[in-house]
Order: sequence, then C-alpha cells, then structure tokens
Amino acid sequence: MENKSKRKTLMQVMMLCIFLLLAILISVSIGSANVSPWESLKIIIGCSEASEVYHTIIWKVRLPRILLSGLTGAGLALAGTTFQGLFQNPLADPHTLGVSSGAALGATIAIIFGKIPMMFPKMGQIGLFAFAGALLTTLLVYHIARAGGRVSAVHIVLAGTAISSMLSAAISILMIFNQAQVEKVYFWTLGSFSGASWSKAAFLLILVVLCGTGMLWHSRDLDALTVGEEAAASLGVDTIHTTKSLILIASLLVAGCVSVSGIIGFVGLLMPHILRILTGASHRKLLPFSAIGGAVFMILCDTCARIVASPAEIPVGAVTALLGGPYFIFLLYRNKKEVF
Amino acid sequence: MKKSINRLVAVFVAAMVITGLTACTGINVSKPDEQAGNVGAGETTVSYPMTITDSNGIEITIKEEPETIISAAPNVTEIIYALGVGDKVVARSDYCDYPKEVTEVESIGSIRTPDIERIVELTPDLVIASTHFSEENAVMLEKMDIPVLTLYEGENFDGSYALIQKMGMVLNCEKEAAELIEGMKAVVDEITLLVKEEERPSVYYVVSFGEYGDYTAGGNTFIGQMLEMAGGNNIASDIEGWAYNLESLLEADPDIIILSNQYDTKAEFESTGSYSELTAVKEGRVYEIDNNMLDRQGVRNAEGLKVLAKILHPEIFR
Repeated sequence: MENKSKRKTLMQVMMLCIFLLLAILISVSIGSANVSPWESLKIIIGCSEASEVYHTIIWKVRLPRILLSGLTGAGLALAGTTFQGLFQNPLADPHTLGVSSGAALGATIAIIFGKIPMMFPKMGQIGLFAFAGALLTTLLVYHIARAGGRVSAVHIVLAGTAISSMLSAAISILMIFNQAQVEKVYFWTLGSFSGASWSKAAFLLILVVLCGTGMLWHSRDLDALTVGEEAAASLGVDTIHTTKSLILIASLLVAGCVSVSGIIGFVGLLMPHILRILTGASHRKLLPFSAIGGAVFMILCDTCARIVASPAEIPVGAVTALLGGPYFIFLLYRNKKEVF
Repeated sequence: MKKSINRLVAVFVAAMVITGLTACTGINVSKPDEQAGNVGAGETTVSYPMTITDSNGIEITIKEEPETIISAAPNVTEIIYALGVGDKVVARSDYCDYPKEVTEVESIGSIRTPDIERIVELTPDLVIASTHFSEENAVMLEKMDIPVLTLYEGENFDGSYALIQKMGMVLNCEKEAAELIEGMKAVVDEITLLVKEEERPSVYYVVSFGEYGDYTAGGNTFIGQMLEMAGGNNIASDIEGWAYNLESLLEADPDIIILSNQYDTKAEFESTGSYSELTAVKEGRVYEIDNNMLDRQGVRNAEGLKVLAKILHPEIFR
C-alpha cells in the first residue's frame, strides 16, 4: 500500500516537472520578436546561426524572464500554502499580512525620489526599495506576532490587514503630491516581469530554495496547525515558535517575489487549493507541488501577457486573474467534495 | 551641390509661404456669431464680450479683455508668454517652468487638484486650462463667476496652430499669434524640404524603459509623426499608441535612439541590462532632447521638430 501511494506521488511529481519543462520550452519559443520556435530552440541548444541580436533576445531577455516568472510563481504559491495552513484560512494569500503593501510603498518612494546613488545597480533601484519596504513590514508583523504570549492567528491576520490599509493610504497620499509619477507607480503595482534579468532570477532562486526548505522543515507542524492551534498544541507542536518562524520565512519569500515583479494576485491564493485537490492536505506533498504548479501557471500567464496584445504587453496580474479565477470555479464545481 | 540647391529652394519657398500668409487669413477656427466678420492683415476682429466654445464643448463668455490670467497648464503658460502678455499671469500650475520668469509667479498647485480657494481669492479675469483639468473644478469655478477656458486641440501641428490662434483671439493678441504661427510653419516647411531627399535612419523614441515598461511613440502619436517629418523612420510606426516591448526593440535595432534629457535617462538607459546591447548604444548614437518641446502642445513644437531633424540629419545643419 505504501509503495503504491509513493509511486503515485512520484508519477505526479514527474508529470508536473514535465509540464514545467514544456511550459519553459513553449515560452522560450514564442514572443514579439520574429524568431521561429524552431530557431529559438536551436539557439538554446547552441547550434543556431541566427544573428547576434536573436541570441541576445533569447538568452538575455526571454530566458531570465521565464525563469523569474517561474520562481515568482513558485514563491507566491509556497507563501500562500503556508499562510492558508498557518491561519486556518482558505482565503489567506501572500498579500494577507501587508508585506506586499510594504513593498509597494518602498517602490513608490523609489519612483518618486528617483536619483539616489545606486549601490546595487544590478538589482534595480525600485526592486531594492521594494524589498526594504517589505522587510520592514515583515519585521513589524513579526513583532506583533511576538508580542504577548498567546497571539492567535486571527489577531495576526487582523493586524496584517490594518497594516496593509495604513500602507496603502500612505501610498495614496504620496501620489497626491507627486501626480507626475502616478502612472509609473500604477504600472509597477499591476505587476510585470518586463525588467527581468539573470541577477534578479538568481536572487529569487536562492530565496525560494532557502525559504522553501524552511517551510518543508515545518510541514508536519503545518499539518497540525491546519486543524487548529489548540489541537496542534495538544499534539506537541510549539505553536508560538512555529507560527513566528513560518511568518518570518513566508514573508521574506513574499518580499523577494513582490520586489522583483510587483503585486501579482491569485497565484498564491489559488495554487494551494488547486493542488490540494490533487495531493490531499499533507503539506509535505502540498508544498513542493504548489511550488511547481505555481511556477508552471505563472510562466504560462506571463507568456500570454507577452504575446496576446503584441507588441504591447498586458500586466501579468490581469492575466493570472482572468485565467485563474474561472479555472478555479470550474474545479470547485467538478470536485464538490470538501477539500479544506 | 544638391544640398545647396535644396537650401536655396527651401528659402525661396519659405519666403513665398510667409508672403502668402500675410496676404490673407489662412487659418480657419470656429468663430462665434457675435464676432465681427472676416479679417485682413492689420484689422482686429476681437471684440468683447466674447463667447467661445472651449474644447469640452462648453460656451464661455469673456466679458472684457483679460488683465489677470491664471494658467493651469505648462503649454498654455508658454503660449501666453510667447504672445507677449506674460505679465498678466498672476498664478500658474506647479508644472509651469518655461520661460524661466514664470517660476517667480505664485503657483496654485497641481493640475488635477488645484487650490480652488486660492484661485477664487485671486479673482482672475480668466483661467486657461488644458487636458487633465477636471470638468468638476471648471464648473465649480464657473459658479463663482470665474471663466475657465479649457483648450486642447488635435495632436498634430494643425492642432498647435489652432491652439495658438484661439488664445491669440481670446487675449487680444491676434497679430502676435499669427506671427508665431507663421514662424512655426516656416520652420516646419523648411525642415520638411531639407530632409525630403535624405536617407531615413531608423529611430526609436524612449518614453520609458526597463522596470517602468517599454513605451515609445506609435505611428499615430504627434511625436511619432514628428519623427517621420524630421526625416526618420520610426521603428514603432506600425503600432498605435505607446505600448511597446523590449524584444521588438532589440530586434529592430534602430540606428538612432532619442530620449529625454531629464532625470539622467541617458546614463540609466545605456547601463541597464539588455539595452546596452543595442547598436545605437554601443556606437554612441543615443541623443537627448528636451521632451517638453515635443510633449507640450504649443509654441515650441516647431523648435522640437528642428532639434529632431538635427539629430537625425546632422549633416544638413552643418
């Protein structure tokens, strides 16, 4: 029996990985530039004679963008899964605790105050400030989670919502005084991978691997917490410590994702639900599956965003909502059994 | 040899055009019924009170020649000063920065959210606004007996001329307005002729890039048209609007790149990731321009066209 379910899981993992590879290959071969799918694959393998500019497009524009979107999808899905388990709330998503609003505020400040000596030019100035804003918000939320012995999940979520509102208000006020920058800020918050680069992808890869591992480490505890804090405590889980750690790890991951790509919704909310139908509620399976599922979904959405209105680009956040929402409703309808 | 003949022809044609313009009114603008009839050079048709339909379709009545004006748009400010009545401006928007003298004048805030109380307190004879000035604010000021004239014309040279002409009429500076327009037309015609036979380099105009998204001037935009008029081949001429993307830019690999001279745009563009791969960047053909000349509909558009032409065809302007 054990072997059979293990083999089934292995099959599912392999299927998902194949999907991921396919998604990458498809996305590499289509885009605004006039390079045929066959040619782009040849460029990747390295046996193409196309001109230099097409090599640049594939290697320096498309590939880093695909990888970045995949990693962002994985990161957001992981964070969403963690928050949903942690707060016993099926509507929780990466943006619940206000970390994204902190990132947006950081980005707004960067866009408005423009020229500050660039210390990390490769990261992009906006990304840097967004990350800083998200980190500060994470610390704030973490501090709230720490304060006083027994802080329940509900309190943390409420605090996060309040923080999120405060930060959004701060952004609005900044916008009133800097109307020339309104469009830039708006474009950033819609979410986009157009500023992708290898260094950003590398940065996010490290973050996803580190935080993902941390979450996996706590997967048993997450399973217990999903049932309820008291039940988890009676099972021997150090709920306070686990909650604080997981909040920190997940928020860090969200901070990284949002700072490179803006605020992209739906992935973190939907992926765990969709994959849970497939894998069941065990976080040891759910976390990696969510990650891969999130990566595939985001890559496909970004490719759509790139080509649907070519040469213009649609904000990827709009695509995730348009694609994810209906599909999720369809899944719910088909799988009427209780999954959460 | 060919160039000097072209130049001679250009000067000759320009002279003919100027002569032709002064001989009769070339410009047609919807004039209200109460006004005096047709005009010849030297006669004035302006009489107050004047009723004019502004660009929002609202009829504005101006009781007498405005002595105190509030300008709620940077392009309007430029036109007022160019018409020679800059001393009548008692307040301006935050964004009005040309000519330099206007920065001494008090500001009544941003265009979208002006300080209504202060505007009322200043009791101007007329407020002139452009796009972005909300109709609600205009109506509110109208209720307090302050006429608000919102003017914006089509995005092309004819639109610029129409705007200058209308303002000239409203401010009783028709002669100055006509002269400005003639001057602009002369420049435009000169440029058009000069670049007519020249080979057209491919060009890309940067509105924004990188993390802010790639935006440029499409074929149906004023700037897009100006690029073509200045003798360039806009690589984005096949798109409408402003949205573009990095792949298409890299693929087109334009000969010349033009961007704004503000905010260190050039330095950032040349050092950002994939943009440094562009041939124009590698060979030092990235040029800056004061984008206000192109963005603000009004008196500096012809000058902007000339700067574009100089960038695209430096050899003509030796």
